[in-house]
Amino acid sequence: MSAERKILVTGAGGFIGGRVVEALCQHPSLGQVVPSVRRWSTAARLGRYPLDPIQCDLLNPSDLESALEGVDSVIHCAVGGLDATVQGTRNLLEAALGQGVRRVVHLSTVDVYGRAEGRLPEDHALQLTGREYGDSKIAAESLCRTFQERGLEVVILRPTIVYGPFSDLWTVEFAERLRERAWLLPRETCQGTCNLVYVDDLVRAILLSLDAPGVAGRAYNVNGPDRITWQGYVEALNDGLGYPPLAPPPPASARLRSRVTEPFRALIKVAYFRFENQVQAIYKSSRLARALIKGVQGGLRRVPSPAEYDLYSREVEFPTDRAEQELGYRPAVHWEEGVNRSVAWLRHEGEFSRLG
Amino acid sequence: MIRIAVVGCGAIAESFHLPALEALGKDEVSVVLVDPDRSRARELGRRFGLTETALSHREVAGELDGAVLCTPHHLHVPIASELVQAGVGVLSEKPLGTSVAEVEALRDLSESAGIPVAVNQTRRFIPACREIRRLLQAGELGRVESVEMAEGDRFGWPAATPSMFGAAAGGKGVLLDIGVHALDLATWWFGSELSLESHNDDSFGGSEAAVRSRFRFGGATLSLRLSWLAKQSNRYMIRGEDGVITWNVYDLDRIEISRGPAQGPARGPGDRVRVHRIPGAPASFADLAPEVIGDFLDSLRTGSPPAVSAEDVLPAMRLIEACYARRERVAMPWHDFTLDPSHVS
Repeated sequence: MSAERKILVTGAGGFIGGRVVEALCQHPSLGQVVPSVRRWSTAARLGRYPLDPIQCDLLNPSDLESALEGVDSVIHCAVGGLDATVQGTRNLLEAALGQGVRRVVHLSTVDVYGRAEGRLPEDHALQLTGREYGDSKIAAESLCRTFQERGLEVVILRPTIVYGPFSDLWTVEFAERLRERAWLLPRETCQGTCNLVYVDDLVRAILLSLDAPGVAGRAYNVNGPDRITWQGYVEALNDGLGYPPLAPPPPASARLRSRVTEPFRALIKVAYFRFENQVQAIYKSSRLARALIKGVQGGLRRVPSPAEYDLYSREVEFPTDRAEQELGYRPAVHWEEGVNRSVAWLRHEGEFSRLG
Repeated sequence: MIRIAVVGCGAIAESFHLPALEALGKDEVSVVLVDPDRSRARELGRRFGLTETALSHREVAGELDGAVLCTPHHLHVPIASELVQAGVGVLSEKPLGTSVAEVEALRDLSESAGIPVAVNQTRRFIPACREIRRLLQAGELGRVESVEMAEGDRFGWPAATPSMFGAAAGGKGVLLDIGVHALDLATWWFGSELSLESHNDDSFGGSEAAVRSRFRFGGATLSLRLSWLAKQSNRYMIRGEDGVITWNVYDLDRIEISRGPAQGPARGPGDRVRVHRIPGAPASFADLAPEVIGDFLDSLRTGSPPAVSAEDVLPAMRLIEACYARRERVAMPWHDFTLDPSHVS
């Protein structure tokens, strides 16, 4: 360890990258952090520290060349669509190899195991599902192995459900649905395993991966210390926020609504991507148009997708024995504590002091 | 024919000022685009049918009547000062400056040279905000007892430079960016007797992204809550002894007024809430630009004072400076990061 070494964090404007930057700022003995963002508009959170972030588009090799100058190690948190995740990772690894970077810690996901159930240690087969996120991370992991063979040290981390302050997916989105009393999933369908890992536990695993000996080329599950059900998590968050008990809908009608809504969800997604400018123009044209578009968005958001039903009912466990033995990883934040911290943050940052 | 430079070719030039200048027509104004990134200036030129570009305001200062400053915040006063000394009037984006001293110096320069310095404090052009001022001056709420201003969302402005964040921002963030809107309205509505009671933010030496401040005026309190990180209610609420005014910051044409005592929620049972619409209001923020630009051009032509001058923005700048001088860290127990024991050993 050396305070002099430079650690580049990609995706530093995001949920996990942002927390990595904060951890490194608070513990400068680990090295000098170089936060990298694709767009300046994502730099508000890390800008709270007196840092000089750099702008780096992973799809632009010349950006990468200058970003990696004199860098000892890279924590690769950036994620995007297929292009950014696969080609961006390829460009990053190529540039890192060329610039003599010592080690890259690559953030993958347990989604690489696809829809498998049961106990899934790291040597379990990876499975393509047709969903972009998991499939692109499988491709990115494969690139990591190629570059490891070419002489670059790469450590792959596969976090589970990462929650806590700034987690859009598992903290903010859930809290907003609870606030709007729009948690419309039946209790019986949320009995699958919620493999929660508090963001600080993941960041500890990342920092351990920077220096642990003999771990290059290895992949590690990073999970939290407890296994609860999704229903348990949702209720804990709901209680923590001080909201009245959940009144879920009867299972049959809820699932039916999900199936009926799915084609519209797909259609609207396609329409938005193909006609983004036109949709924006309509949105801006009048108060009525804005209200209609918001109504459709809100309605779709309140109806859980079939993919959510799959996730919340899936019984799966991602053991961390390998990370514990080889990285020295010890998950420390139990879900009660993690939910407490999340709620405190939600109340501070957003409008969660009362029902909307 | 008035000769204008648009200095800084970022998003606000593109979405706000240039459409309004374009609408005036080439017989009324001729526009030169100034940006250190020539390709960006040319890109905007193609979009708005403008052919003249320059890399610096200094290249064109001698031929200008006025300049619209859309540069990073910290460059407003240095560039404005040079232009005013060259006899060029200035319309600056908000915030006019980053400190009281530099804004005062620019005001003095403007006044002694007789060259206008206008500020795009857009809110003062919003019909709903003007209506609130009129109602307050007419005493419609009786004595004001409390004011709550909450504003912000996840930062989404397509910033072209990192100048608003981190080390580059000199420790000033959302208060200078959004707070300058809120506090300018507050001083315009309630007078400049506002005084700071407390200011807490989340800066760790960089630009703060969350603000909780409290002010006092007369017997009333004003609380200010700002964020660059999460969606806020984006609502201002003024409670008086005879009623409550509520304004959603995205509404240009409407406010809500509820009559009755200020205690209790504004929309509680028994309150008579009335939506007060202001006819003829523009549909979007960009539609306010013709009036902002028109006011500036009038000022250039006639020498009349602009709607919002350097002097006018000083009360808000003084409050902002007081906040930064007395800043304390807001409590964030989730923020401290504990290393794994193996790192500590």
